[in-house]
Amino acid sequence: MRRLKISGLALMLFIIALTFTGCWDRIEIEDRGYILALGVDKYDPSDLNKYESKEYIELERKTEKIPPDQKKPEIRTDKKGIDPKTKRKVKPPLPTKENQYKFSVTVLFPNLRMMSKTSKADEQMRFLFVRPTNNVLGVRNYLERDINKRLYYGYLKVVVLGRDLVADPGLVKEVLDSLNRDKDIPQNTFLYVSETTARDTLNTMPLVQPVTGIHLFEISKNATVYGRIIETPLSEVINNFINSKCAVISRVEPGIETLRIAGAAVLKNYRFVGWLDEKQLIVYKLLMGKAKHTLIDDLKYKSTYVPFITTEVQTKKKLEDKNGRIKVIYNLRIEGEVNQFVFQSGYKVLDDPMRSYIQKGLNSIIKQKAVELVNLLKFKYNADILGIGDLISKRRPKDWERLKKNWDDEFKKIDIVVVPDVRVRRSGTIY
Amino acid sequence: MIVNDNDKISSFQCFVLFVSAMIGIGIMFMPSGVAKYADQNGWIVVLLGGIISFLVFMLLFKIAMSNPDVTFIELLDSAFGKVLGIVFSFIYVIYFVVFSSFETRLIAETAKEFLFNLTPTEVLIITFLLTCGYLSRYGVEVIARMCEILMPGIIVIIIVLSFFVYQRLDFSNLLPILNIPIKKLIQGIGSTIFSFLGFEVFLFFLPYIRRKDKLIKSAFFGFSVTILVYEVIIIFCTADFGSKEMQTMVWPTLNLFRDVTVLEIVIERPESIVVALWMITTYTTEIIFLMVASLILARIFNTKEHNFFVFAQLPFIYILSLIPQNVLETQKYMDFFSYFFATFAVLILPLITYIVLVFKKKVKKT
Repeated sequence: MRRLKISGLALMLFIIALTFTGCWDRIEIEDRGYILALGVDKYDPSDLNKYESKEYIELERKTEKIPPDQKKPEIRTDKKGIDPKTKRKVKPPLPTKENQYKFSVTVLFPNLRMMSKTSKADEQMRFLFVRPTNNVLGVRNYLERDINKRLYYGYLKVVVLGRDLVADPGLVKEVLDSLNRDKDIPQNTFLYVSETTARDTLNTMPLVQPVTGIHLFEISKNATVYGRIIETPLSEVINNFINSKCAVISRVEPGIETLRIAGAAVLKNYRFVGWLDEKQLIVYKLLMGKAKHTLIDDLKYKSTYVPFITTEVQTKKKLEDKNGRIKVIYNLRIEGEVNQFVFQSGYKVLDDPMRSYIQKGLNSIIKQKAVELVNLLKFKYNADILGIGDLISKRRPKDWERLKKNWDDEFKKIDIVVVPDVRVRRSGTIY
Repeated sequence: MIVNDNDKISSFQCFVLFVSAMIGIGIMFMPSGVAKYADQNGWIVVLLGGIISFLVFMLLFKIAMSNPDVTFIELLDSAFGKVLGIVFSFIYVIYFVVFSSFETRLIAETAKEFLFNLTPTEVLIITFLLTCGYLSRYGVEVIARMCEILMPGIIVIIIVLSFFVYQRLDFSNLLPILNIPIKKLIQGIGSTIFSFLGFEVFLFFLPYIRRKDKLIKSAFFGFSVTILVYEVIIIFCTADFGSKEMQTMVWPTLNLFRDVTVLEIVIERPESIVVALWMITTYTTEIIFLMVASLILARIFNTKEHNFFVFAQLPFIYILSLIPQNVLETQKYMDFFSYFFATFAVLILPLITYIVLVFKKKVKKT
């Protein structure tokens, strides 16, 4: 009996020693590469050539802080990616007809050495890798041959989709699925559609914040405050696609040393249908109740543009039934302030007649712009990004059963009326 | 069978045991399972499921109180005689073992998905089972104390995390209310009741309860807390994702708490915390089940101690938990199991026992 006990104990110890010898999954923090941004483009067979083109090399020279006396050795390769001088393989081979890829994925991660004191002055702030793949997140597995870090998607801030990619619904579906499926990717990762390609966007080094991913992320975080940007986190985009098959994704315009987020792309049935410019986006955000501090500066008084900054926006939606036609009424209650007028004009901004002039003028401007936007969405894009279908399905489920079979046509028949109510509340430190 | 007096549990511990046994792994998957049947009305279904479970509990309580000094096993013996009684008792052992293996497999899958990608599932299961077995060797009172320590923490963490989730909810996703066909409502209730299973364990430690008259009260509070936690989670999930998106998720509850960020410094990516939390809830469920199953075995074999039966179950649980291929199959088996086997073990068999007992008593009276 005692022997049995002892042997049992020994077995237990053995099992515990086996199973408790630390985690299988232990990764030291410095062994990880934190991917901050992901760019997904449709693969273009001339891609790699393009990447070797002059303007890119020029751009690299501009952005990589290499002293001018140290020139990069120029490597010329043949089609198989082999350097004729040294006979060594230096680049992935160019695609042949049998070797077709779907995506070219750009990965950006910051140089963590920059944070330590041992960093050199001419070190890069971030690293950028482009690889052709057939699987968006699988790019990590392609890169493990080139990078000594375990790439980790847990802190992904930004995903940029190329303009060519969003024109292809099949590819958009694949990208969305992979982003939604991965367990590491935070659902508040911001999505963007680039005006050109995603790679151009990520290759840009903005002056203020050279790490492009953080730059984009921090601008998008301001979207709750400013009106010309819209924040489109992954969870929201996926939710909109599931519920109404349409979504808005923020737009980004790459430049040489600036990277601007402005306007938005409208996608319908996973396909790009058109842009919303900044002014349309302001109205869209007002209708969706997302705008807080929006600058509206279209109102003219004589030759001055009177700027109006909103501080409070309340959006209320009402559904009305008029002999079979559904009418959606948006009541916008907008409060705000005027922060510039004409010096010594003789008028007080907060007093009639100037106040009522501003309020009426702004009301009519917002109303007119809303009508334009609604017509654009109804007839040109035919994309229900305002969530009207969702609203009807929640408030009037019986009507929705009738409408949902043919929603694209029914959406055109729905009257959308916007009733803005602007109140000037403040005018700074002088009347 | 002598029950020592120091092995008695107070009514508060009883309440804690109820909550610990009921809140198990089901809470991870429940929102999506309910959404399949009831769309945005999941919260109604869960409420009804909880109330119906409580009614079932009352029924069981009435049956068990026909002789409060013995466990359900003795009742089975007195109703069906020695041989049939043992057979039916073994049905309960099988029930708890299968239940435990589902819980184990699901928590191992969850942990593998979110915490230990490279650790083999078998290792996760073995470590989890050994940890459970270690505690289950002790009596009811020790386990009740353990649950007393763990449960308040779980509830507090859920409530704290819910506060941070609250700011991004859209409660219009809960509309339209009550447009749900009766057939789907009933199906939905059937699928939620599994999440409430676990309350039947009291049948087997009734003699250990000090104040049997207060059992109803503690059970009522236990059910209330469980329903509250489930309601919070399902309402928040529906409000956050909408019912359509929720149906596509494997772990809706985890997704809900996954993206909580507080100032990006204090809390970021708390999913490991959440998985650890569910490991604890599953752990409390598991130790109770293991202990109850070994108590039944101890009654069957008429031994004084139940502790050596605990480790005897572990190999069976291990083997059973490795049978399903993946999470989805596990859930399918679990639904199947809960629809047929659990209904039989928790509702039909006690009812038959009661009827037989009443009939026998009547026979005695005449």
